[in-house]
Amino acid sequence: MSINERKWPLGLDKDDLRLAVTCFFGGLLLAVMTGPEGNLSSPGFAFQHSIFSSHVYGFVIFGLLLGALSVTRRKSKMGVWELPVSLRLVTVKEKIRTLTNTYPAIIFGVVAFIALIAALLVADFTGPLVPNKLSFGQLLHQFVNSRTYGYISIAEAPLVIRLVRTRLKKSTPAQGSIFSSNVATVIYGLVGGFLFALFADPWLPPRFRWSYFTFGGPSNNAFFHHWTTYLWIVMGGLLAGRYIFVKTSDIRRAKTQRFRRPRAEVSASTRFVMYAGCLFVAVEAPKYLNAFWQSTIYQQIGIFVLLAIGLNVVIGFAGLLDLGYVAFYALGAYTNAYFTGALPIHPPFILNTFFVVPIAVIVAMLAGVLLGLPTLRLRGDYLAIVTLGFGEIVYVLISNLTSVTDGAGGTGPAGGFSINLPGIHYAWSAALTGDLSYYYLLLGFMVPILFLFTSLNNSRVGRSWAAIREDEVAATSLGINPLKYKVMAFAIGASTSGVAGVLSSAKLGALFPSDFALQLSIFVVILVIFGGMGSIVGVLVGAAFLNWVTQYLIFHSFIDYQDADKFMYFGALLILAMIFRPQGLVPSKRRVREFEDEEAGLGSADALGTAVEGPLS
Amino acid sequence: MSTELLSVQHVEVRYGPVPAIRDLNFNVNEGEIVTLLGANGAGKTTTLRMVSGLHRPFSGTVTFNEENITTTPAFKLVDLGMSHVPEGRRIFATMTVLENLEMGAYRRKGNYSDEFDHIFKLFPVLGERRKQLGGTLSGGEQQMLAIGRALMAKPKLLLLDEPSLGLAPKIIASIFEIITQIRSEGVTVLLVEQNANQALKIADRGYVLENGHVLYEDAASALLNDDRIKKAYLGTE
Amino acid sequence: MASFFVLGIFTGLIYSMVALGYTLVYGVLRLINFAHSEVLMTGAFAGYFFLHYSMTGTSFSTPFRFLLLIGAIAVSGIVGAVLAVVIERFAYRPLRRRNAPKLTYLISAIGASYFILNFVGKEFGRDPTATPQPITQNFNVTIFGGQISAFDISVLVVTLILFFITNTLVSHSKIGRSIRAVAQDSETASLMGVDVNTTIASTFAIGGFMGGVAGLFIGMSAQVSYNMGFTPALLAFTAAVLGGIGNIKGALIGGVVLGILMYVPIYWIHQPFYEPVIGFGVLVLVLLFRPTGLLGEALGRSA
Repeated sequence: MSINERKWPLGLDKDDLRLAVTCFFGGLLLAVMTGPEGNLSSPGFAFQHSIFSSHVYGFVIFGLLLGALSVTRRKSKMGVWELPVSLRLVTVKEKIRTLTNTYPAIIFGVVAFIALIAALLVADFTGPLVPNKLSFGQLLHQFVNSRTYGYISIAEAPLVIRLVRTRLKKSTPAQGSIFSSNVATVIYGLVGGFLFALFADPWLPPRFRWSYFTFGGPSNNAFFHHWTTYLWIVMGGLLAGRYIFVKTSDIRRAKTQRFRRPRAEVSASTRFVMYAGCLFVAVEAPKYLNAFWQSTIYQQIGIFVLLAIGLNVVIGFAGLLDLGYVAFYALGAYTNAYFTGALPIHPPFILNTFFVVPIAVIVAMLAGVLLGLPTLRLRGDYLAIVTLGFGEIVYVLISNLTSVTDGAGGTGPAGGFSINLPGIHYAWSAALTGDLSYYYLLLGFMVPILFLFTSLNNSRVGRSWAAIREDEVAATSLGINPLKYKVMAFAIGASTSGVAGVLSSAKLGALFPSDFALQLSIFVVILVIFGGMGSIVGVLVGAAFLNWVTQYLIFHSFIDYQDADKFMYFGALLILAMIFRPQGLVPSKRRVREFEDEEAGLGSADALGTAVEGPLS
Repeated sequence: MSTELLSVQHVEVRYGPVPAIRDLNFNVNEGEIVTLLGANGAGKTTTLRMVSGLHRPFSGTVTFNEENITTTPAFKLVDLGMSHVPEGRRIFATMTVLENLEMGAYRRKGNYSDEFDHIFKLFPVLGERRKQLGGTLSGGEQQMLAIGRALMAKPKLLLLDEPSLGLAPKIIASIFEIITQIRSEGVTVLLVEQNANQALKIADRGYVLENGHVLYEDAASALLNDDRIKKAYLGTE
Repeated sequence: MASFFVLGIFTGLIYSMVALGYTLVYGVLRLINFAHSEVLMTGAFAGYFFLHYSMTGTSFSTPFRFLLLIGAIAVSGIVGAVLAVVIERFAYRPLRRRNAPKLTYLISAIGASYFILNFVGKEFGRDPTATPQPITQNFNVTIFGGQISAFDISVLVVTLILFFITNTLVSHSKIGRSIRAVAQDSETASLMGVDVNTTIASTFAIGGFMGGVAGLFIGMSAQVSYNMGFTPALLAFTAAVLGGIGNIKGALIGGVVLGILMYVPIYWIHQPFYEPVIGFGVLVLVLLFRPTGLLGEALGRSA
């Protein structure tokens, strides 16, 4: 092939060796990463105990297998190795296709299996809390209760529906038969709602008896005593009605119009159903969780999801990098502490936390503009390090300015949310566990914010952001002021962070500087990247998932995992994500295209100025 | 027939998913001047960048001096005797003329003062400005420097991308004169030009590209008199 | 006052060594190497281990102390250089091969930084430790009311020597010529026969060596811990911008000026935690009023 190349056996070359060695050392590294904690007085301890222990073999073998697999893939791709026909990917795919064509039930079985596993995981997740390292008995206990069956049924429900529908199609029902009438659809909806309520009702005790389903059963557990039951039944009916409406109007439209909507675009009705479904899951699902997760879902998951949504505007929409994001969060939190009289310095007037929110938005936005203007005027890439510095400075100041912030010892109790109107008095509870009032408040803030950001991204502003990302010079020549839109995105992100800060402080009460350490900014960056920058759905999913995993691992750790280790894994995750999947888990279509274009030299995918010039081989 | 120096077979080059060159075939024999003609976006520059290793072909093979160089990186091709004068000259603006020329001889070991003399004989103006920064030269001088820099590597094959771009007619004429002179010293030249008339006058053979593949190929003199070419590229009837 | 001035100068010298790493990488790749703080930290750990295991006795002769210092510098520098090259190899090169957007480089560098930081934290514990001192503590000179210790003198000498070597290397050697060529136009450089990957790796190695040595000095003047790299690296970046990013002499001057600007005010406010706050203020002011820095950007083109 090229010059100075030695002949290797089996047509292997240097790159293959490098690949295999990398995978081997990757496995070794993974073994060390998951090993015990070390300390400086005996520096070799941690290495010794992870390398000379049995669990290293698993990782090393895993690494070697991965290496062998990638070498085989590479070689067969290059055409150096002729794999036997029966082993080739194309053949295997073809075989699977013929098999599933002959026996469609196989797909059903596979999907059912995946759904089963997922349902078991969810059941475990919502089950009672088990401290470190599950024993088999405990695991069994998690799984063997009625809740598990409920989740399994929910997970398998779509499959059952599909199966029934395909059966119905095969038998081609006559027009006007019971299966195709609108009345039947409504009945399906009502029954479906009932079933959903039956399987998923949170108020049911773990092991159910028929007596619970009667009106006269034990008062706390009676099925029909709960408004959620009726809610779900009504929801089912509404969905069915909506379906009928859309179907008939679609038929009408199809008759009058020659052109139909492009297929790729999700229709408005589907979107409505999706949004409604998501909202109801968000409202209802937390009720099924145990007390630990009910408090975690606010402080550890919900707040971070909100933060990630805000940072997504900066990273995903505007293509900038903000590494001091938590500083604005701290600003919001301490603004709340100030106006509710928790700081040593006293405000001119004490405010209800509801009124602090707009003030916090303004404060964070102002800080964002002041920081963004000088930096973004010049170079996008400086923003990353300037914000990093800002985050550190805010942290240093709140830890050291004892006369203003009470320093590291923590502030007094900051005020929580409450409504004090004539006739209505409600205070959101700051109970540590098992209370969802703050979660619903957060949802109340999050839904309008999500709506706002989605429409913003689809508006003139969103198009300007896209134009700046893809070609700043061209955007400028079209009359778009890049500085204005960059600062705008940065300030919007900052103010969202400020709102999150107020929400967090209201629940936390006393604030400690350590709650606002800089690495939280990095954590939020990871949430955005993992889910998919620019994609709101992706960020929601990614943020919720990663937060869940970190919390889960603390209590269900099968490796030597400490909470402080998470940044080690996240660091590795970031590198791997950037190498293999920069667009994230659930990417935005536009961002994927931009990444591809930039890599082909046809445009850019960020607003950081000139692209990096690298060699081309 | 002289021996084949460069041969491009069934090459496809893509920018992302978009193919810029499809099933491209051409060859350059030793001692020839071959020119690639075509409109903007026909794939001429991409072809040169692919040959010199700046772009990896998606498929196909490139052979240089009987060696398969399809995947050889650009910097190794210099050792094999290929020099590329990129489009827009791309000289190192903050280096002096002398340093720029030294960069051209980067891969060569030992003394290359003879080469300096040779370049300065070819381009006397560079000799006068040897201490000047590359960025302060005029367009024509920069083009001469770029060609001189490429010659410092003592190439067998010189790839020239639009050497007449943005230059005054008088300077263009002298650049083309120098290209013939370079060929007479035994360097094979692959020339990409918009200025088809000039290019065909000094070339032995020409290929006309359109949409990334060869439309016509013929001896330069034949192409010069071809009505289709005249109409499309030469602007004469 | 004078003592703060002196403190500023010598701390600034250490920052300038770190700043060089930022400047070189920025000059060549137009990238802020966020993982540089971890190069510094790892250099400090390497120096700590070297000194910890070689200074097992109680008393040492002056020539032996001198040798220990040289050894520690070599070990820290080499470990720093190796780490910098490894970072380049795994966090940057795969992206460069794909011609990825700049945003991905920054994120991948952040990832590398946090991975190394917490990996070291996990393997060696998270408590700070003092480095054994090879340099005598009993030597002090007073100039204009400012006290200069033997440690300060060694910092001065080492920094100046390393800067001299680096500057000579970049402006007069063949590898330096290739670095400058890649900084200006990497594609054309590769057409000249420059192996761009090797050149970039050697740039990281030079910056990493300096970063590692700086880490050693920071570890000796303060303490060694897994998260020690962050603040000095931030200030060093400020120094690089202040001197003109991409400019080698600018890194040296920027570091010293920043050191003075940071420490002299501390004389009046008596609150050492304001040090990074002032440094950050300087960064924002420089970006506002003189974004190209004191000496301008020299290694590559202006962006």
